[in-house]
Amino acid sequence: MSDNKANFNEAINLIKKSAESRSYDIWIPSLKRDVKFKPLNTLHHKKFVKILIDTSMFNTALNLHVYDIIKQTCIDETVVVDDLDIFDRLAVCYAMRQHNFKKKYLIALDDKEEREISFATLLAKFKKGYKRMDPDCITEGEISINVSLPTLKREREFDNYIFNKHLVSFDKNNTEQINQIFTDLMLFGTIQYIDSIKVGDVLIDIDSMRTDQKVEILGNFDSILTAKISNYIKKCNDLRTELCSIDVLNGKDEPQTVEISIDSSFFVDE
Amino acid sequence: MKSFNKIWIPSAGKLCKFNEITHLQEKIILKSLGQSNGAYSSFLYALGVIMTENALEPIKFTTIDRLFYGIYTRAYCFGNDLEYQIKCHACNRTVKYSLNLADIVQALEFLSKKFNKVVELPISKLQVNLTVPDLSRDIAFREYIEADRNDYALLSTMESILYMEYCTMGEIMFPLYEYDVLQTADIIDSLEHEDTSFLHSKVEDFKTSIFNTNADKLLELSCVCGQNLISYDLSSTSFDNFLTMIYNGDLNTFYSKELNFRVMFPGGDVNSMAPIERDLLINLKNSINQQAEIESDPKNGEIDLASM
Repeated sequence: MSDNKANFNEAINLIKKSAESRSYDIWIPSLKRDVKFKPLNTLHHKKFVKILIDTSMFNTALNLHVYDIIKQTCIDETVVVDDLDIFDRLAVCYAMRQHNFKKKYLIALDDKEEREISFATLLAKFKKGYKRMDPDCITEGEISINVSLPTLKREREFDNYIFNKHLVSFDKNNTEQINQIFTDLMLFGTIQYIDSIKVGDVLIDIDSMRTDQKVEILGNFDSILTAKISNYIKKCNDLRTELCSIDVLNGKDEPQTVEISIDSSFFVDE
Repeated sequence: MKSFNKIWIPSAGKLCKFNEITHLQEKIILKSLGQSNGAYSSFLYALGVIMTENALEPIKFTTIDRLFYGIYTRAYCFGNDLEYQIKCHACNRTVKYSLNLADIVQALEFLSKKFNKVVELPISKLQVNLTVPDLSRDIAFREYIEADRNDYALLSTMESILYMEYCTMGEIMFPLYEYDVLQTADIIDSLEHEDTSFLHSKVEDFKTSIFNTNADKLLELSCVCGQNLISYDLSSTSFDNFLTMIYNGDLNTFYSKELNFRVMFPGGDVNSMAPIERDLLINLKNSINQQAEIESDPKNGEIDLASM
């Protein structure tokens, strides 16, 4: 720095450092502790808008962007972002929405009434009484498969695959392409939950395989095995729904449960 | 022999010498009007580049200088008077409204003074110094936008970027005028959203304050319809919009003046002609055509100046 004049890189670093002084805590359920995060910057906000415009039909680009944001804004160096799980990401998303957006988050009920959502209530569900989804071992004949909640690393690998295969040249009007994406999402979505596969005494090193090779392995499982994996995924999804749901009173003062899903519009102020 | 014009340049506070505008430059300016893209117009870019090309003195121009150059050039090429039809909202009648560019220039006399404002961003406490944009920076931004008109994210921040001269954080200064387009955009993008929104609104206020410095004088140029004072709404426009407006009205005039016939003269090129030469040539052609009609011997639109 010459004569107190900062060049571009120095200026960017000073702004980033200044943002660190305004960090805030987010409770990470899998770590059972608070972790410090920097506030979102304008580029993060802009990219949410771009994703909403370009690929709002799928959450792939959104997941990738949220992963990048977590990497860029988490200032606790002891946290390995890749090892966090997809429920940690839910907690981070709700906390980021609460901290970085001034505007109230309103949700339309069945009777068209609007209600403001309390993120504090939602976030409390990830803290007190939170029960982590346990890993499981699924066996059928000689094959045994260890399954668990996907980590952000595994989810990112899957999202990157889908994004590069389909969304780089995505055309909203191409129904054939849209159908293909949905098929791939269903098929490849299962792979994220698989930790390891054992056939007899032989361990298949699935982590070292490419995504398309993993799909081929999965394609060779019989339907009973696939159904058992799907059953585990369903349990994860049920738990996710429970974590993301909140009770509100409708226009007739009757309780109604609403799920606060995190899609492309979640981070965009109208 | 090439002649030059003397034009009032507010940032220099004096009359500055410029090469006379050529017919080709006229064409570039007016054709760029049709290629404009909202506020980030090809027209303003073309006008800025031509102003820089024609300048005979090494001056660091601002966009307000471009306003004066644009008004002068419009008057020089197409005359001082502008006529519009505007509707009187009180009586619903359409009224003829005239503007004289010499009056406009006189009304803008206070723009000679410097405009600066310091804004402190609420979150980062970064102090941003706003000023009238430098013309070379404006040209560089427009070149970038021209290369990628679909970069809506940059488009939205561009207006603010242009007006930011430098920032200070405590004792440290960020000389934005030394950074390039993308680097300045990155500085804005690295700020928190609340700061950026605040900055955009303050830049808008700053632009309005510059305009309002002379708005009352511009409003004196209104016309009267019965009991009502009506005008082209200069108070709600910007100088860039105003500049575009005074040229927009010339499109038809221009196309009627474009030299779309063959011209031959020794060592000459139509595109290098000055507006006065162009008008002389058109008058000459018209008089020849009239004469030809009388003699029933049309010249098929060809003029051979060398034989005259």
